[in-house]
Amino acid sequence: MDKPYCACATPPGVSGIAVIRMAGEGSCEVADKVFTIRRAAGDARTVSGMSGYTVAYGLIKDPSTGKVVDEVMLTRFCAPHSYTGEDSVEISCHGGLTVRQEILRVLLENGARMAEPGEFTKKAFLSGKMDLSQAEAVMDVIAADSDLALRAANSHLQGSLKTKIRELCDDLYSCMAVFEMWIDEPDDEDALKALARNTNALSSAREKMRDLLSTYRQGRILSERMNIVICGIPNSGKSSLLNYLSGYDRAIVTDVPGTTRDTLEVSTSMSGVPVKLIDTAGIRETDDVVEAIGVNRATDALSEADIVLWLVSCEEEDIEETLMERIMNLPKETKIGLLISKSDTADESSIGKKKSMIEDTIREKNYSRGLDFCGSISAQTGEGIKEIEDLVRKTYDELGSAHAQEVLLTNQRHVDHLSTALTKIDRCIELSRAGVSLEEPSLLLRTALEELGEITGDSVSDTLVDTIFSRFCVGK
Amino acid sequence: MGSWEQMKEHESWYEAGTYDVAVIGAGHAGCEAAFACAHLGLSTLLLTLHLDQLANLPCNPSIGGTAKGQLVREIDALGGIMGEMADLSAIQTRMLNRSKGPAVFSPRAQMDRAAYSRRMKSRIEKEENISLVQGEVVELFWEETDGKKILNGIRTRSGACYHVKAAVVCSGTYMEARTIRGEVIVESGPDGLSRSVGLSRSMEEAGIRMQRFKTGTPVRVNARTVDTSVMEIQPGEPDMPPFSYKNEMEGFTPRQEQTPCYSVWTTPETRSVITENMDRSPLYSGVIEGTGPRYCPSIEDKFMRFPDKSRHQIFVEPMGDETQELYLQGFSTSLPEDVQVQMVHSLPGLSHAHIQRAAYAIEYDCIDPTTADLSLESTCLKGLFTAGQVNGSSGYEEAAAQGLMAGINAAMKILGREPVILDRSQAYIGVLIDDLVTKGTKEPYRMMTSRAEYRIFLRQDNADMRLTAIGHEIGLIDDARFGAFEEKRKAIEEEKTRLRTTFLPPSEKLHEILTRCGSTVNQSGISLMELIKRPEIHYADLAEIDDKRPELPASVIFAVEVDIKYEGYLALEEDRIKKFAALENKKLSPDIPYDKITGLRLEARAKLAERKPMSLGQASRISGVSPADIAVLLVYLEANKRELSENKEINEGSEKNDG
Repeated sequence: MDKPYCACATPPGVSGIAVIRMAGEGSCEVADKVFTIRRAAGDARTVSGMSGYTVAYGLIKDPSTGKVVDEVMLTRFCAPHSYTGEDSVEISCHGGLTVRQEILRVLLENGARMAEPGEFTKKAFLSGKMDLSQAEAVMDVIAADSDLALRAANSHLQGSLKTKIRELCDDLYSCMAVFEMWIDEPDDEDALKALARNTNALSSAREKMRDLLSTYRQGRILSERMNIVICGIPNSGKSSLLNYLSGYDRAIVTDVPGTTRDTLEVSTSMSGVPVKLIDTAGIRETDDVVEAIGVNRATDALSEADIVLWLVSCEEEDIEETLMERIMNLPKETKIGLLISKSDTADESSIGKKKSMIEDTIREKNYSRGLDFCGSISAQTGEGIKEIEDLVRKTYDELGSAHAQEVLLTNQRHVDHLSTALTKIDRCIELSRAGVSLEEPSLLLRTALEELGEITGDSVSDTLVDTIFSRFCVGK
Repeated sequence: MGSWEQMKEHESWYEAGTYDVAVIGAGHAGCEAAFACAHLGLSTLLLTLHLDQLANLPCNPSIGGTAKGQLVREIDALGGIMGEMADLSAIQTRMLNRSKGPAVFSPRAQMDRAAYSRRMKSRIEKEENISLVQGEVVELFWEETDGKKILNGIRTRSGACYHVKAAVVCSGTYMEARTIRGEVIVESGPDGLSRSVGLSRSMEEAGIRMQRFKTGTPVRVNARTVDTSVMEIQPGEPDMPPFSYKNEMEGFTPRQEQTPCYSVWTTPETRSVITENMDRSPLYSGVIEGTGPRYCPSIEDKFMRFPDKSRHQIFVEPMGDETQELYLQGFSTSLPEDVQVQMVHSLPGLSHAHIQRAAYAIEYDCIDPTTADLSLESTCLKGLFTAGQVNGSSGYEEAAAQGLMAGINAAMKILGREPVILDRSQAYIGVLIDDLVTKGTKEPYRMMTSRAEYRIFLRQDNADMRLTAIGHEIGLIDDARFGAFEEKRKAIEEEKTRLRTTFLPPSEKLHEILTRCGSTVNQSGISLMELIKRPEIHYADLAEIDDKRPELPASVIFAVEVDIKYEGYLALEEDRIKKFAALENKKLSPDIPYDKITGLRLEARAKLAERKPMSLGQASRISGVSPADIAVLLVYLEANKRELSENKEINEGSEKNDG
C-alpha cells in the first residue's frame, strides 16, 4: 500500500506562516502520531476523530524524543471532497525554514513520504477534481515542478553530496556484486574470498550512510544548544562551578563527597553562545545504588557532550582512573578542558605540579587524543572563568564552520530514501551475520539500492551488471 | 530492391512455394520457432545453411547453468523442446548452487554435442507442418503501403523465392561472419562452416539498424593426449531432476553413468606466453572491430583486465560419448595458432595435448534490438521477427527462449490473435526480451540472475506454476499435460493446507527431532508448517512424527517446502511486483502523438516516438525518459480517456435525438 505523501504547499522562503499538506490513505493516522490536540471542534481527541473541514489547535511533537516542534493549526479534509480527492490534512505552522523542515521530517519518520514533483496537482486531475481543459496545464505544472526539482537536485548533487552518494552507492553495489557472483558463478574463488569480507564491507557502507544522514541532524544542532558537561570525582568542585556559571545556587554544594547524585542541567548562555550546562555526579567506582544510577547518567551525558570540563582539585592524591579512561576515550570532536579547581586554596607551584602530573600520566597511556585546554579555576574568586568562556566561543565557532561544510543533506526527499535504505541494510547485515542463505540479504540489498536509485536515477540491474563485470573476472 | 517485382529480371529465380512462416536458420532459436509455429498449425518452412548441423553447440557443450537453467525450464513450461532434447542428450548433470537456498538452484548439463544435434534434426523432421530445407536466404521481399513495409517473401541464393506471411530470422553468428586467429582472418561462420552473405544488407535496406558483435571460442584437444589425473575432478549428480516437466511427469530416469569434467588453473608460464605475444592479439592490434562481451572475455583479456589475478580456472569438458574431443572452457582466445599451442601446453596435464580445433574469435552482423517490439517483431518491417544472436544476445538458452517467443508471436499474428508478451515479473524470458528491446545492448547479452528484479519468485522449480497455463492458452501444452500440471498444483495446495492445520502436541519424539535438528524445543503445540518455516528443519526431518503424510512426488515436496520457507520474502516480492504491475498494466497505444505532448521533454518525445512502448512501465525503462515524463503521460492517458467517454456520451445523445 502506498504511503500518504506530503510537501510544503506554500512557496519556499521565510514567511509568517507556512502550510504543509499531506494527502492519501493513512494521512490521519500519520497525523495522529505526531499531533497533540489542545483544542478542537466537537472536543475531538484525535485527528481521525475530527470531523471533516474543522480545525484543531495543538502541538507537533517528535514522538522519538517527545520534543515539541511547533504550535500549529491543523485542518482535516475527508475523501472525496478535498483538493486531491483523498483524505488529507493541512498543517499551518510558523514560517521559518527550520520549522517547516522539522515538521516534514517528523511526518516522514512516522509513515509519510515526500510528494513527487507536481503530485498533488496530478492526483487532483486523476481523481477528477479538474476538468479536461486543465489537462495541459496540469502536465505543464508537473514538467515545470520536476524541472525545478531537477535543477535544485542537480545543483545540490553537483558538489560533495553527489560524491558522497556516489561513493556510498559504489560501495553498496560492490557488496551486492559479491552476493550476485556467489549466486551466478558458484565456483569463482574471488567471489568466495570477497564474500568472507562482505559483511564488514556492508557495515562500513552503513557507517557512511549514517554519517551522511547525521549531517542532516548536524544542521539542526546549530539551532540548538551546545552541551557542556562538568565532571570530576566527588567533591572536586563541580557544583560550585555550575553555580558560578549559571549565576544562582542550582546545585546543593557541600563538602560531603557524592552530594550530587543525579545530573543537573542549566540552560544559559556564555559569551553569547546558548549552552546547556550539565553537572554530573562524580564518576567513581561505587557500591551505593542511588549513586551508581547517577554515575551511569553522568556517563551518558559525557557521550553527548560538545565540551567536557574535567575538574581535578589539588587535594586529590591519585588520578581517578575510571574517570580518566572515560574522558580520554571520547571522540576528538568533543573538546576536553582540564581544570585544576579550587585554585584559591592552593599555591601556584602545587597547581603546576598537579597539571604536569596529569599531563604525564595521559602521555604514558598513549590515548588516541589529547587535552584541548589546560588551566585552573576558582569558583570563589572567579579566576580562570574567562578562559572557559573563550574555550566555549572557540568550540562553537569551530563546530559551526565544520558543520557548515558537512551539512550536505538538505533535501527531505533524499533523507526519506536514505533512511528507508538504511533500515533495509540494517536487516541485511543482521541476516548475513546470522548466516542465513544469502538470496534473502541480496533481496534486501536490492530494495535498498532501489531506494537510492530514486535519488541517483540509476537502474539497479544495469548498474549491478556493470559492477559485477568491473569487479570480477566473469566468464567461461 | 526487396520485392517480387525483381522476379522478371532474373531468369534463375523461381517461385518455390507458399508458406505461412519461414524460419531462417535452424540453430537453437530457429528450431524452437519452427516447432512452435508448426504445433500451432502453420505451414512452416525451416531453412538452414547446413542440414547436418541443426541445433549445433559450437561453443561449450553444455546447456543450463545459473539463469540459463531457469530459461530452459521456462521454455519447457511454455511447450518448447530444448529441455526435452537436453535431458536425452546429457552425459553429466549438476544442480548448481545446491549448497545455497532453493531460490537460486540452477540445473546444468553437459551435452553429447553430436547426439543433441542428431536428435533435434530427427525431431524436427518428424514434425507434420515443418519443411526442412538446406538453403541460404539472401534477400527479403516486402511491399510498401502508407509508408509501412510489410514482408511478403524471401529468396535463397539458388533462386528459390517463397511467398510467406511472416519470417523469423535466427541467423546466429553467421551473417557476414569472419573468424580471426592472430593475423589470420577467414570469411567463415563458426566451426569452419560457410557464412551467410547478403541477408544482413537486405535487412538494413528495410530500415533496420545493424551492429557488429564479436565473440569467441576456445581450443578442443584430444583426450587421449591429456593427463586428467593431475586435474581436479568434477563429478556429476545422477539424481538431478530433468529439465523438462514433461519428462519429470513421465518418470524420466536420468542417465546414471556420469561423465566427469575436470578443472585446472593457468600457470605463470601461461601468463608469460600470453604477455609476450600480446602484440599479435587482434583484439589489441585493432583488427577486431566488433564489440565483445565483458562476461566471456578471452583468456588474454582476463590477464590484461585483471592484472592482480595471477591465475584463472579452466574447465575441461568432454564433448560426447563417441568423441575424444575435450573443450577447454575459460580458455577462449584469438591469439595466433602457434601461440595457442604454447598456451595449452603450459596447463597442468595438458603439456602434450594435441589440439584438434584451434580457438578463434568470430565477428558477425546483428540488429540493434531496440528496432524490434516486445513480441520480437521488427518495427521497421512488419511480419519480420528476429530471435537469438541476431538480436544481440549470446548463449543457446537465450536464443531458444527468443526463438520460442518469436515463433509464437509470428503464429499469433498470422492467426489474428493477441501477441504473447511475458513481463519481467513472470519469467526470465520476460526480463531477457524486455532488456534487449527496451534498453538495447552494446555487447553480446547474456542472461544473469542479477538482471532479474524478482529472482525469488522466478525460480527453476516453479517455472511450470508460472507458465504452464500460458503455454496451454497458446496451444503448445496439450490438455493431458495441463491436466497433470493442475493435479500437481492441487497436490501442493492440499499439502500446504494439511501442514498448516496439523498441530503437534509436545512429545518426546518431537523433542528428539527438534534437538537433532538443532532447533528450539517449544513448550506448547505447534503446526507442521510452523516447524518447516524454521531454516534448520526440513520436510523430510518430520516424516516419523507426521503419520498422516501422503505419498508425494519429489517435485511437489520441493515446491511445498520452498513456498513455506520463503513465505515472507515471497510476500515482499509480491508487493514489489504489484508496484511494478501498476505501470505495466497501463497500456500505451502506438498511435500516441508523442511529439505533440508539450509536457514531455524533447529527448523523451523523440525516444517515445521512435520506440512506441507498449506500456507505461516499458516507457519508464527507456533511457532518456524521466519519472516526470511518466507522470505527464499518466495525465495524458487520463485526459484521453475522459475525452473519449465525453465524446461517446455526445454521440449516444445525438443518436437518441436522431431516433
